[in-house]
This record gives sequence, C-alpha cells and structure tokens, in this order.
Amino acid sequence: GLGHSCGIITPNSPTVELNTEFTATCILFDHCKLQFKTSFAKDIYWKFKQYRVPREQYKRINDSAVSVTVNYTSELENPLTCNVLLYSQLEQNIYGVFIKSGFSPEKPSNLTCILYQDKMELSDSISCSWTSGRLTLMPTNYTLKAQTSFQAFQNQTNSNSCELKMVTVPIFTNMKFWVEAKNELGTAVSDVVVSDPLHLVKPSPPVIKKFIAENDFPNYLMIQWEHPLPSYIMLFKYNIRYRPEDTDVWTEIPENDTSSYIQTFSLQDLFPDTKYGVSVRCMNSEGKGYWSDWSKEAFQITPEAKPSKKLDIWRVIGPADTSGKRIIEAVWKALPHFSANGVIKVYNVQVESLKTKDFFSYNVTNTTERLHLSEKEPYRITIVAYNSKGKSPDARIVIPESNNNTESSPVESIVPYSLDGQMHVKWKANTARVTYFVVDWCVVSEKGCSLVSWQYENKSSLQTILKGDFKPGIRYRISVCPVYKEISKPCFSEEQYFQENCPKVGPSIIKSKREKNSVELEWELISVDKLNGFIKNYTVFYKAAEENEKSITVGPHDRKVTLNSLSSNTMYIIHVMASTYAGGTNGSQFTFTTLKYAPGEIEAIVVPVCLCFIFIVVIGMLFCFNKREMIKKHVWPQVPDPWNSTIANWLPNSPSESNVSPKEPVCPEGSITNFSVIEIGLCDSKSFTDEYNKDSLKKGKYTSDEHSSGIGGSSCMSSPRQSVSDSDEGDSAQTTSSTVQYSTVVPSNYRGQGHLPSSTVFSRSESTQPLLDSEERPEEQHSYGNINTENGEHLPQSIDQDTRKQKGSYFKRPKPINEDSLLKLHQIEIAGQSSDSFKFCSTEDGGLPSSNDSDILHVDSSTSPGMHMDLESSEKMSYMPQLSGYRPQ
Amino acid sequence: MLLARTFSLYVKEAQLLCHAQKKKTTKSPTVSSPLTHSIFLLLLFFPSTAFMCLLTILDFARINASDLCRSSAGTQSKNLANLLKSEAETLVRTYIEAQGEGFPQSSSECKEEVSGFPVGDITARESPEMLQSIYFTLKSIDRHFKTILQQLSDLGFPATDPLQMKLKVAQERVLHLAANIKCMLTVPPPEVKIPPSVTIRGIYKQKKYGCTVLRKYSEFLTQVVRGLSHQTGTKLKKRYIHSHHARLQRLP
Repeated sequence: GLGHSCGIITPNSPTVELNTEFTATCILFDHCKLQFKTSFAKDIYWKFKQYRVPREQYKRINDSAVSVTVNYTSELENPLTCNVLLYSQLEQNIYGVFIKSGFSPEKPSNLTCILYQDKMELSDSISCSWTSGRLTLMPTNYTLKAQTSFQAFQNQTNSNSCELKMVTVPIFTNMKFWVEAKNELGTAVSDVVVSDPLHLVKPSPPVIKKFIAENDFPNYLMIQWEHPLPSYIMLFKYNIRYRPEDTDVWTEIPENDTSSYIQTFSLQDLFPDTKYGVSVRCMNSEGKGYWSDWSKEAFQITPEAKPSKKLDIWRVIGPADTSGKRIIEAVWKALPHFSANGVIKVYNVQVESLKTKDFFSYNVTNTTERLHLSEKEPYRITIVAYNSKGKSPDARIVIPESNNNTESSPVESIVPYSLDGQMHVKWKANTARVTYFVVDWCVVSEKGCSLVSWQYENKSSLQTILKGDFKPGIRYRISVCPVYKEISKPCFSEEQYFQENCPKVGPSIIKSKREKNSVELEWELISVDKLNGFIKNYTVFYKAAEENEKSITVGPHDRKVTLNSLSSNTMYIIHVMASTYAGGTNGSQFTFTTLKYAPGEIEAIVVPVCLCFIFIVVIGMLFCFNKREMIKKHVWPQVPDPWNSTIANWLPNSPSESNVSPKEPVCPEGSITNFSVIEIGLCDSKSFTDEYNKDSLKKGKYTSDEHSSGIGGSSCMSSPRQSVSDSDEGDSAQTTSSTVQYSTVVPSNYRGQGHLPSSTVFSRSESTQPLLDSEERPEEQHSYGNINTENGEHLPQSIDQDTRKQKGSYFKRPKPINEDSLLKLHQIEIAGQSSDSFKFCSTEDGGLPSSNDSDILHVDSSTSPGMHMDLESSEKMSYMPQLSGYRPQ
Repeated sequence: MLLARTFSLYVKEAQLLCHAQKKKTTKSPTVSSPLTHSIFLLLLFFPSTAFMCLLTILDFARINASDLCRSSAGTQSKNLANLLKSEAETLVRTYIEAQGEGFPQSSSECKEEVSGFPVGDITARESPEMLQSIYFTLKSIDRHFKTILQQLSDLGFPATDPLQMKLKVAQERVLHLAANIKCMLTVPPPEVKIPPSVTIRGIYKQKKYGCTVLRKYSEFLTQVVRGLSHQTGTKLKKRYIHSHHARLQRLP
C-alpha cells in the first residue's frame, strides 16, 4: 500500500483471482475526518491507475468508510487508489494498494514418471512430468510426491516436471505418485498414480555383441546382444530392425518373434552380398514401461551367391555396309545388386548363326558389345553374367536376317503420353505371335537417336509405365517391339516429349523477297535439339515505325509466309515466334524496307517518256527537214558577196578580182573615208518593206527580257539564235555569217581605254562576245552617255538592240518603249540624227541610211576621235576581214 | 549416536503405531495420540535435531500402505525375494571381504546365535503361516540390519562405503518385501514388538554377528523364494487384497 496517513484500504495486499468480484474498502482515519469534514463519503472516488471506477460500484458503509466492488480483470491496472476531491477541484489521494492477480492452479493431469537405467543398474531417481493446465499468472509451486509402504518422497518445482531422488528406487513394490499445485489463490492435487517403479523403467538400449554371417548361408545373418539389466531385476522383450545399408527403409522383425527373453536372433531372407545394418531395443517383458532407444547400429555383409536373374538384353540394329554386314549393338543392363548377388566379374557373350551354326563366344566387362554380323543370316546372341559364385541364367535374343524386316509389325499403333510425372505407353497389337514386348526409348537429336533404356513387358500388357528418368524438353522416340520366341519383330515407334518446354531458340529469317507492298519471308528450321517440344505454329510479328504490331500465324510445317498490305518504302521490323504447347520463343529481329516502286513501274514510266521524247525529236526533225529552206534562210541567210559588189567595179582603182581576197578589206581605209556609199540593191524597197513590217510586228518581243544576248550558234534551236532570230528577223538580209551575226554597239573607249566624248558615238562592233565586262563593271555603264539602267547585264545588248531596232527598251526591258524616249535618246546621243533613219533600218543597216543622212551616220573622225580610235583598233582584230566585209557597205 | 538410534527406534515405532491405527480408523492420515506424545517428548528433549525427523515421521504417519496393495503383490514379492536373494550372496561376500584379515573368509563359519530367524523350513508351512513367518522374520532382519549398520558406523565405515550402501539398499528392500507380504496376508499380521538386538561387546563378535545375520538372511531368502514360488495366483488372492482393491476402485 501507499503510505498515507489519512486512511487505509482493506485488504491491504490483496490477491485476486481474475474474472472474479473483488471488494475493497477505504477507511478514513479519525484524525483526518476534520480535514475532509463530511464530504468524504460524497467526494471519494476509486481509481485503477487512471481509470476512475464508476460511482455506481461504490457502497457507503459509513461516513468514514466506502467500499468498491469490481469484476477484476486483467485490464484493470495497478494501483487501486482511494481518492477525495477537495473543494470540488483538488484531488487528494488517501491510500493505494497493489493487487496481485492471477488464477488458482488447475488440477495437474497426465502425470507420467520414468525410471531410467543408469549403467547396469536402475537409476536412483524417478523423473515425473505433468500438465499444469492454464497459466496462473502468478508464482505457483508444484510439489511432486511419492510414497512407498514406509517411505515418502517429495520435491518442489515451479515448472511441470520434477525428479525424486532416493537411496535406491524401490522395485517390486508399489509406489504412489501425485502432484500438488499451490499458489496464493489455491491448491490443486493431481490424481494419484500407483505403480511399481519397475513398470516405469526406460531401459538403456541393448548392446549388440555379435552380428555375424555364415559363408554358406548368403541369406542369413545372426545377431547377439546383452540384456540391459539382470534377469532378477527385469525380463525384457525385444524389437529388432534391419535394413540394407544403402536404404533408409527399415524392416522390423514381428514383435511376437522377439517377445521372449532372448539374446540372439537370426535374420533370414536377406539379399546376398548386401551390407545390412541392424539395431535392437527392449522394454519390460510385461509391456509396462517404455521402449529403450534403438541400440547403436551394427553392420554385416551377407555372403555372395550366384546371380539369381538373367540379364535384360536388347539390341540396336544398324544399317548394313557394302559388304553386307550389319552393326548389331547388343546391350544389356547390369544386374541390380539384389540380383547380381555379388560382384559381377565378367559377361560372356555367345553369338551363334542359326543358319550356319557358326558359334563364337568371348568375355567382356562392359554392358555393350558391337557385333558385325551378316544381314543374310539370323543370329542368336546369348549373354550371361559371372560372379565368384557362379553364372546367371542365359539371356537370349535372336536377330533375324534383314529381309525379314519387311514383315509387318504385330503392333498396330502406340500412344506415348506423360501423366502424373511418368511416361506411359499404350499400344494396340495382335498378340497371337508375341512372347513378350520390349519397349525401348531413345533420345532424338540431330545426330540420330541414341538408345536410353528398354524394359520387358509380358504379352498381355498393352500399356505400361516406362521406368526411366525422363527429362523435360527432350524428344524421345518410344518403340514397342514384339518378341516371339526370342526373335525380335519390327517395332512401332512414336516420338513424344515427357514435358514440352518453349523452344530454346526462335526461328531466324534466312530469306526475304521484298516487294512494294509485300514481302515473302522464309525462316530456318529449328534443330530438334533446341525445339523442346512439337511446334504448334509459327507466328510472324511485323511492325512498321509508328504502327501497331501485327502478326500472322502459320502452321507448324510452314516455313514461308508472305506478308501483304505493307506500305511501300517503309521499314519493317519482323520476328518469328515458334510456339510449342508450352509457349513460344521469339527469333532474332529482321529489318527490311519495302520497295518504293514495284518492279516494272519505273520501266512503265521511263519507256513512254523516252518514246515521247523520241517522237518529239522525230517530229522536230521532220519539221526541220520540211522547213529546211526556211531554216536555212533564217540560219544561214544569203550573205551578199562583197566581191560581187558593184562598188568593186565601180571604183576605178579597184583591185582585180583575182588579187583581192574576200577577207581582206575591200578597200583601204583611207580610200573610203571620203565616201558614203549606199547600195540600194541590197536594201531594196521590198526588203525594207518586209523588214519594216516584221520589225513592227516584233516590237513586242523586244520589250521582253527573254532574249538575252549570246554567242550565236548554228543550230536553229539554240536560244541565242532564237534571240537573234527574234530580234533580227528583219535584219537577215544584212546579217553576215554566223560569226558576225551579232551586231554590237561598242563604245570607242571600251574598257576605259579612252575618254568618251560628251556626245556618245555608236559604232558597229564585230565582236561576237557578249559584253560581260560591262556587267562586271556597272559603274562604267554610267559612262555610256549617262544612261540610267537597272540591269547592267543587258546594257550592251540593249544598246545593240536599240541601236538595231532604234526603238529598243533602252536597257530597261520591262519598261515599255515609247517613241518619246527614243526620241530623247537620239536627241542626246546623236545630234541631228533623224529618227526616220532608224525606223526602217537597224544599226547594222546604218550603212544603208537614206542618202541625205549619210554624213550624219558616218561620224567624222575629226568630230569623233573616239570612233576613230575604234576604227584603228579594229583593223588589228582577227575578224577584221569579216568586218571589212561590211565596211565597204 | 544414541540420539540417532533412539530416533530410529521411534520412527519404527511410529510406523507400526501408525499402521495399527490406520487399520482401526480406516485411512485417515492422522497421527495417533501415543505417537504424538512420543514426538512431543522428542521435541522436548531434542528440539534442534528432531525437527527434520518430525517431518519425515509425519510423512510416514500419513502413509496408508494399504493403498499400495495390488494383486501383483505375490509376483512382486517373489521377484523381490529373488532380487534380494541374488544381492544377498553379494552382500555376504562384500561383508566378509570388508572385515579384514583374520576374519573367516567363508560365511559358513559365521555361526553366532542370532534371534528372529525361523527354525526349520518355512515352505513346509501353510501359506498364511508361511507368509506371517516371512513377514515377522523380515521385520527381525530389518532390526538386525540396523544393528549391523550401526556397528559399521561405529567402526568408522563411511556412509558412502559400498557395504553400507548395499546394506541400506537391502534393508529398504526387506521392508518393501515385508510390505508386499503383508498385502498378501488374509488377515493383517499382529503388531508384534520386535525385541531389540542384544548388545554385543567386542568387535570381532560384532563382525561374527553381522556375518551370521547376513548368512541367515541369505538362507532365509532362499526359503522365501522357494515358498513364494509355490504360491499360486489364486491362493494369493486373499480377501485382504480384495478389500483394498474394492476400496481403491471406489476412489474417484
């Protein structure tokens, strides 16, 4: 309790049984009554730790005593306190107690006692144990008591087992045993057990003294042991067990055979040459008490005996070679230990030709023998096993001659299947001429089929479970072979998996044939070693970028597939999945791109285009041929021969015809400076009229910028020619040969070699080159009479054209030409020049001006030094002869 | 030593008294008033040493041996007699060997006058008489054993000495056999006061006494074994046993 001076709780140190009612009373001491006045009974409250007990459970005994009654459970926590609330707010503890709680002990039950053996005597103590029952949750003592006719023993513990120590354990007299359980809440006594302690003995295991074999008795071993205790203390019955050393399965001798008080026993029906282990245990012969532990195991080997069973033999017949001999592989199983009855030292193989009766025999040590035997003869193979004690029964098989292989098998069908972790085979057969069946199985691989095992089945069985270690994912070829009178008949085989798995590898695409919208794929066959199951189907998955994957499934025997409806010129990723019943395995990915054009599509386009082109060319050629005169007229116009010029004849000092080359200047420069010659005949009225008309009609063309200047070619199709022809149609009569068909206005101070005069002088140029320099130096263009141009490239030509047409665009082609501007130009450039003279004659034809204008056209060198210089320089040019052809004009 | 002997005597007496009381008053585990007087006397004179013994005595006083009687008492008696007989020969040999030089090496030379052993062949007697004779003889043997143990102790043999140990074991088993025989008796044997052993002066004589007791003990056991072997199971089923059985079966 808590030390407080104002009151006390009774009981002071309570021990309460859980789940029972508990009452405590708080008594206020007299000297505190004044302190609490009369409020004690009213203001008192009980608490279990922090839990306040409801007031309904209080009972007021008097002004200074209040009790509380609760159903005490384990949820109520210590301490129980009695408190008072002073002035309705101040908690005042009066007293507190700690309650011990738990359960009273239950009656101990299942009291069992054991008297152990100690060496060759009984122990001097008895051990007992019992079941305590429910947990008491508080200290509980258990007193084990025992009593004889004149002695009493006891020992105490708080667990459920105990030991009673004695000077000597009484035997052949009865003792009483019981247990008393006691704690603060009560006492419980177990039932009394009355027993002779000898009936509680657990003896020590017997000690095996001998475990011996007798040489002539291969199935017999004798065991001898010692009794654990003298017979005057206890008689025993025994229990014997034995096992072959390599197994954990014990065989127990029936208890009836060993219930007597014996010390030896003979184990019989044992396997020869087998190591056996044996152990013995014992207990009171009356069956009261406990079995001892098994004795330490003793081992002994039974003597050998001759093999008791014939060998399981079979054969694998190979193909015959060129010499007509077959490879017959005779195989047999080593005898199991329990049949071999000893160590097999050698196998004797006997081969006998049933036709010629040839016979040979030899010994081998392994379990297979390869024989080269003629396919024309039947042979009997006999194999026996030898150990130190003798030989096994003969095992025989007859290999028929090979032409017998054509005979039909009595087996009609077989169905191998796996079930419950075993491989089963069912077959249908005509068993009339069958002695027994041999079911063999081999593993199918790329290299062939290697025999795994075989087993014999009698003729009546049409199904069996194959006794072998079948592995998943391996293909087995299971054959049922009937044997009739030792002659093996043709077998019937089926392939089967014990358990299918997914293929180890997926198919790899080995060929593809791409089209514009399809592809033909071919994949390689998966090796049987990697199949792991029968192929159920192949699934081809293909996917283009940014498209969903599609698939197509084909049968197990297909190795090709054509994927249609593909997009052209698209890359596809493909893989093929081979599926067995266990699942599928994907092969490696294959990427290809469909063709952009289908085969022949390009040809279909190119050929017509070429044909069209050829057609157009041919048409053009025909046109040209038909219009050759006109073309010739345009391309190679009639050039007046200066030689035939009348001026030659007209001039008095004209050189003779033979002395004057047409290339040479017709006349010396100085000789013509003083003349103005007008050849009317070459510029007759008709020509002028035509040219004029044409020129008038072509005005629009001149405004176009399509006709750039260029070197005149000979082709009628050439653009420069076109340009020229377009612009110079009216000038054809005056045009010189192809090398001189361009007329160019050349400023006298070309390339700045001279200073232009303020009034620009135009002169005919014989150059066939476009005036590119002027393009490169547009700044010089300003020097051409301050002509403002937007495109210097056309400047020379424009000038030329203007010079020739007189109504040109003035270097700015898009700008429409008007006569005012032309007039202004003339006013600027050529003072006093008549505009009329330009209306019907090009600049080239300037040599054919009206007579009254000749002086004006021919600029006097005195007034035009630049021009003069130009003329001088032109004399040195290689094409001067051409120029000179004009000059006379 | 005197105290121990006195205490031992009281214990024995207490047992006998208790047994007699129980026979009269069913199975009430109460202490009879004469025994209580004795205890009080003991406590009065030897308060310090007797306290532990008191507990034992109280325990003994509570023992109701009749509860322990079963139909197997005959077999148990025979087997126990066999055991004692086999051990008795060893005991005699051990005793003689322990007496040192000068002591006869054959028990046949131990021919002291020892009381309490039956005269003649007990197997010739009728079964109840034989059993009663066996019972009383066993009681006498117990007393002789106590004397021998005392003598050995006086001679300085340690408590853990093999001879002492064997004697103690034999003494306990003799009492167990007596209890078994008692269970076999049709009529409870009369509580006869076994006279104390005569005080023997002289160590050699004491040795001769011990040797004679053990020899006679062994010879007696031979008779007992033979006598009990003749007992048939039906003969052993006495009313006494039946009555106890019936009482046990009535127990909850």
